Amino acid sequence: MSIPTPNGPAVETFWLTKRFGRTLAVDNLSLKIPRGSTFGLLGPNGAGKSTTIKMLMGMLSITGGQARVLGVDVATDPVQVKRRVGYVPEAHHIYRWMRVGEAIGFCKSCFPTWNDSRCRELLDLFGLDVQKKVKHLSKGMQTKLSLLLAVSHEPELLLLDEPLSGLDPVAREEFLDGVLQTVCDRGQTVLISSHMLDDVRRLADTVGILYEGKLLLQGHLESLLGTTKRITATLRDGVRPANVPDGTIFQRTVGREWTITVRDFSPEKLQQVRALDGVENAVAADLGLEDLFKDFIRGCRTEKVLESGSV
Amino acid sequence: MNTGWLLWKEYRQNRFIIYAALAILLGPYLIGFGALYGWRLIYCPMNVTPRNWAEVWWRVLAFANFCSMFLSLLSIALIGGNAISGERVDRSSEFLFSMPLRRSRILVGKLLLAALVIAVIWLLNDFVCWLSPKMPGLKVPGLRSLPLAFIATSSLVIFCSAWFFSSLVTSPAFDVCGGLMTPMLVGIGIRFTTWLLTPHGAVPFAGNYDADFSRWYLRVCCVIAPVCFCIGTWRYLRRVEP
Repeated sequence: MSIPTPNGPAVETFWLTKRFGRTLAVDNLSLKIPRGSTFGLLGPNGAGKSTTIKMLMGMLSITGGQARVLGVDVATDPVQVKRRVGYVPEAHHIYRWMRVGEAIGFCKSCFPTWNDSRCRELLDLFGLDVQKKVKHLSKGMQTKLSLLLAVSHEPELLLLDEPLSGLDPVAREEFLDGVLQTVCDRGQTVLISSHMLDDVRRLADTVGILYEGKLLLQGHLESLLGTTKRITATLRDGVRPANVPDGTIFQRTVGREWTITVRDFSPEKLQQVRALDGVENAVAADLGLEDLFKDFIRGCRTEKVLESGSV
Repeated sequence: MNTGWLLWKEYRQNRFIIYAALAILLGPYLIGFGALYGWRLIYCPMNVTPRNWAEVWWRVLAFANFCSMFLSLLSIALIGGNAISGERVDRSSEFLFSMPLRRSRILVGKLLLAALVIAVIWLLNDFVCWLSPKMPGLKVPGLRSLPLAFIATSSLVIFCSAWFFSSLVTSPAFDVCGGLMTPMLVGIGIRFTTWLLTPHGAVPFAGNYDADFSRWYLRVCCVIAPVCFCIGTWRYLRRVEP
């Protein structure tokens, strides 16, 4: 029996591993999400985001390591975790034959902490009709219903697994407004995995990038964006210098233009690049979250290709 | 969690199977008596009447009872085979398992519904069996002469094996077929084993073949059923994934 720690991190994993046969979906993932933060879990398809979230929800067995959610060991007491966590999956599997009101009644009977006034508030906000059957709801409305069911019991942690995929911009906006109003503004912890980087940027204060089951980086979004820069240099004869500055995560040469993405940027690093043989001039520019994400993933892919000797 | 909600959810989830089970249960009686009524309508005006109407009535009832009981094996397989995999196949179990419910609680809901449906099937058919010897002046043998023990054991093994397959394979069709095949395989297995063990030219079971076959069938089914049920239940309770 694990003892919940009220001030500990909301999510903590130690060398969390998940294997499906020979496929390693999550590889020794060690993650810590402080309480009250909004964490964006980014990664390409098949990176292990959904697998990680399902393991945190106690809906997938853990091959190795440990996951603690709100101080509770998921493997030993998944029911306790589910009682305190709200979960919005990518694909909604609420009983299709249920009416919205029946789905609410069913969930209400499962959670002793159910808040009726919050539920009504969200019903109004999302414009959900309690008489309508789930199968007759659009994808956007199903996502909103899923969010309503996930937050009406006032969870301490909200897990959002690609909730925005397949939604039109208006539905996405309404969903995000719902999350901001009902969860983020009340100081609850949110873990959101998504491909919609602009939306993640709107919500998250901390991000982590997952690639092939490994956590490439984790940090405060603003600090990451502030310290990761793209240096664009013009090469005299188009030959890329052998040396690159420390913290280079990705580089590319197109004609005479050499682009390098550098972590922990400092003016000295820019000077280093300028001082390299064959470099005519170099300038540094800020990166958006999307560019940062893409460069991290491309950098990893290039490294992998080089390691496997394909190039 | 109110168990009533779980039972309601199970009923709504399996309502078409329950309607089918009711149709299978009542269908033979309705068809039998419908046919009898039609026969009366056609032949009575021609003054063609059987010597003993009560006997005809009870013979139809006996046949309908046999058909209903035999066909209800299919209902029992449907209930057992859909119990676990029915929710897995449409992935609604993922929604259920995101709720803070203990597996044992969900299991109780499933078993309670199955028990209720099977009880209704057996109570109605047994009531007809119980009623038959009470008919005054009835010349037909009582409906108890039906192989009740045989059907009861088959029902048990069908439900338990369908339950077992349901916990193992996410295909209700396969699970229902698996449940229905199990008693057949038991019967074939006994016959094959008898054939293997009986010396060439000798008479199997020392001549008392039917009685001994039935006895072995009942014994084997009574072993297989609890084993299948326990393994299925254990698997369902132990599995982390929905």
